[in-house]
Amino acid sequence: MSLKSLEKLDPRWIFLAFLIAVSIPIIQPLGLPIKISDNTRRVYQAVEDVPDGGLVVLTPDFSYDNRGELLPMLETIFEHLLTKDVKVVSVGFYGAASPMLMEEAMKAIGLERYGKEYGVDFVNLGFIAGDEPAITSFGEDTQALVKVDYYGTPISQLSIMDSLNNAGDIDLEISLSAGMNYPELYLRQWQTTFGIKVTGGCVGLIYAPLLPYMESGQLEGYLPSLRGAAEYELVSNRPGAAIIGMDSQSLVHIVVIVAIIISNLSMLAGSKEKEAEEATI
Amino acid sequence: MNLSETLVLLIAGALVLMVLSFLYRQSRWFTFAEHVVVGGLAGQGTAIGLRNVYYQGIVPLTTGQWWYILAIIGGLLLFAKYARGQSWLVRLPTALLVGCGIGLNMRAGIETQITAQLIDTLRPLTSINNILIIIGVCSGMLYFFFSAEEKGAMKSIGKIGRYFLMVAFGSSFAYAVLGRTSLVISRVTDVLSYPTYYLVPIAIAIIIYDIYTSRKTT
Repeated sequence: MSLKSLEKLDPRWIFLAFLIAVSIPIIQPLGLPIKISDNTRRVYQAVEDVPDGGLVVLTPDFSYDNRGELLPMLETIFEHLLTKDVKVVSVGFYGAASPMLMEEAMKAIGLERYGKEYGVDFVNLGFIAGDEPAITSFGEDTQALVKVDYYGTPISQLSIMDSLNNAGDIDLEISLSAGMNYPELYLRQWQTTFGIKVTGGCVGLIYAPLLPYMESGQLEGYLPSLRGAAEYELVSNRPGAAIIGMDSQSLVHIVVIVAIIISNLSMLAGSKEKEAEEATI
Repeated sequence: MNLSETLVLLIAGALVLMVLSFLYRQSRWFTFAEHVVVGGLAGQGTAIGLRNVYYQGIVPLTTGQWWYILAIIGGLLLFAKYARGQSWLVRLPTALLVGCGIGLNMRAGIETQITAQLIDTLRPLTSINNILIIIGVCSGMLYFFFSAEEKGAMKSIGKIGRYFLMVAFGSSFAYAVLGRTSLVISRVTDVLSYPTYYLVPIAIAIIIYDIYTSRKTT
């Protein structure tokens, strides 16, 4: 088989190689090392720095299509928050599924395991439509915007909401985002206006454009996709689904790199052959 | 794990396998799963939307906050584009939405996305990273400067800017691969977990049967 003939390779063989590379470590974990980056340490430190009795707003701005990337991150950060003496308010501005994903994380971890009580230490406010105007309203007058929580309980019956009147009461905003502009919305409407700290994580696709905000210190670090979740699990000493997935991630990246090299070599071989043919004519 | 949980996992696993069957080829299984997802999401979106209208529009109205009626009328006017002869009315709420959006964006957008970034770019040339950032920003911006002919120094600097942009795109692509792979890992982990792994041999058998029947037909 010549290199040129690889151009005609059925892409389904690559899918199969991809699937095998993903499956092997899930069946038999390899335990490949994971290095913790400075950005992950900054996110961890931002959570650690929330004072006792402080208020954290957790915004799972993603839907079920990004569950695989961001749910492990949501679970590990939420569990870290539950170990601390802080109040956690969850609200979603991106997709209607965010309260359900928060509920899934809450059930997986269990508030009672950490002696926390719903309505006192944690509340799920559900999804609020309206993007930037909704985020602005929430930051300026939370009590006027939010009437009930996700389960329809009036916020007057939830003692945790007594301490949240506007974004100035928030000690840390943790945004787990699948949409490019969401971290920017929190920076614009909450960080710049009220001076609160913003951190969190996002899907891999939007991570690179957010790097300038981390460099400038506007974002207190940010976690990229499953890799970020795995690092956070390591740094907070809570091994979970993300660490298991990283073995597959490494093998798949080898497959992708090999595929890129082979396809380029094949293309080069093809163009050289074409040049030789043209020279003969 | 009780029966209902097992059933939910099996249905979810079956749908994942139906979607993954697309990697082999388009099939009725994939089409079925696609329709289930689109229908389910449309239903969920409608339900959540109606819930929001009720709690954030109707409930305040019933408590005497009459001005919420203006928001509800504004929302209803968005449907005016379907009314023949009255479609111009849609411009009123659209203008309000666009105006509010731009106003809110401008309020802190300049400081957040321009001023703060500019200040951070003006760094002392004391490290390679800082030098690279300044060269990258200046040459990248010059690449998009169209008011002068691209020749001489302009061309060379623009070319450097293009290389910086290519590195940035490469980095974005690598993160995209990371993200997409994470999604596959999550799905495959679910499929290879109890009780969903019982469905894998069934899916393989269906694909083999499909290959056999399609070859027989051709």
